Amino acid sequence: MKPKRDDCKSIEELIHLSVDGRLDVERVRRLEKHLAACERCAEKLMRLQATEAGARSIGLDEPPPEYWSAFSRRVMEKIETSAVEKPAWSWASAFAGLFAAPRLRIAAGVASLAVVVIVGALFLRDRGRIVPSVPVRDKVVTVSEAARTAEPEAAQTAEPQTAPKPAPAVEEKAEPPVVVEAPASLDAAAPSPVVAEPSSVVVAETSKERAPVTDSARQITRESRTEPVAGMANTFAEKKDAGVSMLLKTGRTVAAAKGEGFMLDGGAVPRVSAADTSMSEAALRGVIQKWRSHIERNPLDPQNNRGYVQAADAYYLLARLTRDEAVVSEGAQLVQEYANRVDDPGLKLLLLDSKARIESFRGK
Amino acid sequence: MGRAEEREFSMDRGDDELIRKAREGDLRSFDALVRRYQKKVYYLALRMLKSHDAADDVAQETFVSAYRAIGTFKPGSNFYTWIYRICMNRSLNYLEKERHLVPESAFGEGSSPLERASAEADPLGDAAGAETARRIERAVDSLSPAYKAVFVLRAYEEMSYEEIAESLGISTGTVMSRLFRAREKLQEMLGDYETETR
Repeated sequence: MKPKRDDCKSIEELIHLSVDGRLDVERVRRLEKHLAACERCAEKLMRLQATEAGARSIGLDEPPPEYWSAFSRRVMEKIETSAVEKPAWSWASAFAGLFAAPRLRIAAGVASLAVVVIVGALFLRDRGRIVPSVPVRDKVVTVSEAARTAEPEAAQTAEPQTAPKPAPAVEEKAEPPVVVEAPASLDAAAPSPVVAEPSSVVVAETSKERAPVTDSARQITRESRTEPVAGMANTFAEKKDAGVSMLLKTGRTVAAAKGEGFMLDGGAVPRVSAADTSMSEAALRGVIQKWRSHIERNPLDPQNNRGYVQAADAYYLLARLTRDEAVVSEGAQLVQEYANRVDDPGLKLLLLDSKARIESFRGK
Repeated sequence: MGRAEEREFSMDRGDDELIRKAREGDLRSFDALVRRYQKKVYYLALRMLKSHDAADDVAQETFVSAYRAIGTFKPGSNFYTWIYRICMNRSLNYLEKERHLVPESAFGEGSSPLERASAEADPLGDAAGAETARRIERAVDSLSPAYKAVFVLRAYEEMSYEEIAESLGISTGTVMSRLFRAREKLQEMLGDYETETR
């Protein structure tokens, strides 16, 4: 008599457990009885066993002996290096630091959060709306400039901006939700998908291109945004004509010529991946130079967190490619500098790890 | 000696003492632990990441992280599963971060490991067997990280369900569920291959 399908269903788990040698005597007997009458299940067991055996037969090349003799030495060097440079971080110091931090940190953090709320609400409400009469960047500029000056009035100036008021509509056409990166965090794995339309290219603003901040700009409300603000509309129109629209410094990526990348200061910079060893030396040096330049000119750009990691990865690949001592030293120094700048302990650790990886090519 | 016996042997050989000293800051003791487990950790990462450079990075990071966290290791616990847990976390993070990781030939230039293994076993070559093994390898690589992690620890490391659970920080039931599902998925993929070749 053929076993019923229900029987086969209940036997499935026993088949898997049998592959792992997890059956007791009673269940072995039950399984054997079923398999004797069910060719389908018997074949399934054979396939599972064959697959497991096939997987185990896949061997791996043994690295050369010198790799193993150097492995532990490299680990210990990294431990000793990180022990020297690791800041004395503790929850207590972080807690104390939060309240002892200058107002600019609080203002920047609150401003970033407000931007998330505003843009998120805007996106949900106004998908596909045309460009705003006032560049959204002005709000960020206002906050950034206020934060940079670190004046007491800056916080007050920033405060109204951080109220949860809807931001002007931005030019977004069927784009995924905007992700704003707070300065202290980095989401390395969440760049937005390719944006096909040139009008949605992200531009990381330089300080020179920012429109002058006026009182009217600070008092922008949703209702008042139907008319261009004098002095700003032209700037925005020019940008729009150039096929570029102002978006928040969200760290979004756009399609560069060769896939995902970033737009920095008007130029495309390819995205670097530490696992992608196909980039040439010239390309890697180009990436490093562009990020360094952008970071130097825009020290408060939240996108810089991504830039630190990109530069670190580019230096790692360059060191790996060239095995040049100068590259190793230069890269390690720069990444250490970037690690010193960031507050987020996770990002700091990531950068210090990158530095250690760069330095692993020293003397090779 | 099977892997399970290997692990017990390692533990009997003074892991506890080395760990105790390492927790007190003795770097030489930790260095001894690194030497003891470096190959296991490296090959685990290599199975997951299929890239020598990536495996090297993750293996190095695993031990550095282990040193930093050695104070949290519970004396008497299984160091093997503990270090594997760190390695798996690092590997899964790496896979998450480098979504489009292209596996370079972790097995030397040119030929796959299976071709070399087959050549050694049978100088005349076993093309069909080598091709099947390649298919299995690709099928395993295409599993989601969560399923792949469980399958790798079971198939290659021959860990028990309980050890896998400890290494991944999940329940034994979840281990069984993911392992069985991973196998079913492999069968589906390999079944498609058989249909194509008939």
